[in-house]
Amino acid sequence: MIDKKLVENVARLARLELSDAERTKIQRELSAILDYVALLNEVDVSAVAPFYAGRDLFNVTRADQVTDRDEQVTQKIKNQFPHQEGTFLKVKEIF
Amino acid sequence: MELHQFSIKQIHQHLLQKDFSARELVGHYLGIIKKEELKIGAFLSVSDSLALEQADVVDEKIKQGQEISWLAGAPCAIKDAILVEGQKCTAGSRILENYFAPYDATCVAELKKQGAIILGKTNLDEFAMGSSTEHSAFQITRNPHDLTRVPGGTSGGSAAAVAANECVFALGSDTGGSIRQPASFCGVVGLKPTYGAVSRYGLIAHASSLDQVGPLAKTTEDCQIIFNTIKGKDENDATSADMDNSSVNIDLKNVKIGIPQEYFGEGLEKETRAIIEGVIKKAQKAGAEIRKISLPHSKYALACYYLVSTSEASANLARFDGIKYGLSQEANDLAEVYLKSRGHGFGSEVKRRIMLGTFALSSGYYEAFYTKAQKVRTLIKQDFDKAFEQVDFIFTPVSPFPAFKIGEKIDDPLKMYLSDILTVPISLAGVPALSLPVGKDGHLPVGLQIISRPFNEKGIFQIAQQLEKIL
Repeated sequence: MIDKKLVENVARLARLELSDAERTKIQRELSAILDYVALLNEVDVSAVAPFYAGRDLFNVTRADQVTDRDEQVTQKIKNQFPHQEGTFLKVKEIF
Repeated sequence: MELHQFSIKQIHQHLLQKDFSARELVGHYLGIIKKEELKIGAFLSVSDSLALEQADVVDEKIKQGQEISWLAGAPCAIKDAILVEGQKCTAGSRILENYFAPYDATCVAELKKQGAIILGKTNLDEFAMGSSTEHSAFQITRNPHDLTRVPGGTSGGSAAAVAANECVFALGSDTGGSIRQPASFCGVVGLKPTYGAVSRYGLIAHASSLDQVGPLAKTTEDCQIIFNTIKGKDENDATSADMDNSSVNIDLKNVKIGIPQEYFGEGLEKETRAIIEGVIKKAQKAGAEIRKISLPHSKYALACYYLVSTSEASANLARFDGIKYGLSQEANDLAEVYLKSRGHGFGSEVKRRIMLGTFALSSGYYEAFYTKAQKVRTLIKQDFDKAFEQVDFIFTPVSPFPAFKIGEKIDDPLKMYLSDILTVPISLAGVPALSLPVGKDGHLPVGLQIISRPFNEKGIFQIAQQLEKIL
């Protein structure tokens, strides 16, 4: 199931640059892991709903209002921008 | 008695009686850290001056005759996946090697409010992915009981620090066993709370439907004090919940304890089995009714976990992209920024899990892997629901074996994953579990896993305290 092409596609989806050696190793390891998780094929889940959350949760929303912002925290966050220009976070062009 | 032998309550009494100052206590612990770290390597960073400043604040309060809480002056360590404002928070990864926390995690804020003193940040497997702390990008942590062996993971630094007397208590995080297993390997008490009992705000996310912050300490009483401080609904974590504060009176004399056959199978090491069975007998002698139960879907839990947690992790780690913070590699275009920053910044275990999770969520595979795993998860949870209709607590070993040698499992990912086989079902079900040290295999600690129904941490603490007395 896990061939080289699949590894390349998944790595692209995951935005991970892998060396040739890494790709070969991961192909082998993922194959082994997926062989193990095939165990789940034994389970009949036709009558079962998925349990996504850690407990019974329902979606919560709040009013769309700007709440108090801590300027100090904002500054600490900005101080860690890898590339900054003025007060802006600088990134490579998208187009 | 040496200063590092005191429990939280004892420290509190001694501080009030002015037998020693918070500054002296912190100084003592910093001295131990200086000495032990050469061997143990539990800490990624130590914040001496900050700790002493915090100690001075507590001492001033005592001097002024002001009231202080139980935790005031108690020195602790925080796993480096939990944000402490102004301190580095690396998640054990090169991608966050120079990242400074802009705010406190809620659990940390609660500890600070009570006057607890933070000595430093502890080592972990990168992004809390692993079972031995060997996947830290920075250093190995050694088990204080045997320096050739792992402390367990991913809260290995926290567990080792407590075991080596480098702090009174520590905070860790548990996604599939990451508090319980290192607690077991290092001979300390560790709690994975019910999912939602403790706010995850400020915990660097691994798997959002599984992660929980929890305490590690030498005694159950200490763990309970810390848990009571950090638990509760937090508006910054919509999955958190308030707990019923009514008191319970649980006694070994009138509880039903379930022993699931699936946790005592072939893979369980002989001595571990003997120790756990010994504890069960003692509980029975103290009056507990022991019942054989079955958690029939247990054998699927590990496979389920490694699809659910990796899928969630692949989404949670997408934010580490070289754009807003963390490692940002030189690149020619935007795509390269992502590819190179992540390629360089993440270690092999993290990459492996991101790949597995991305695959499980990808078009054409999503139903067969992710959705299927989440359905099996329902069955695993139902096993526990049904069990808790029959019994109040479930006793199992925490790990099929005690601490293994450093390097022993590092080259075989699947072998490493199998370390978690007894802890992951509990995480998937969202129920609480405590790891209690109950014996030694030679010189290696062995822990008992005490599981109960959601939000019954109080019951777990009571049972554990009673066991502590009779062991």
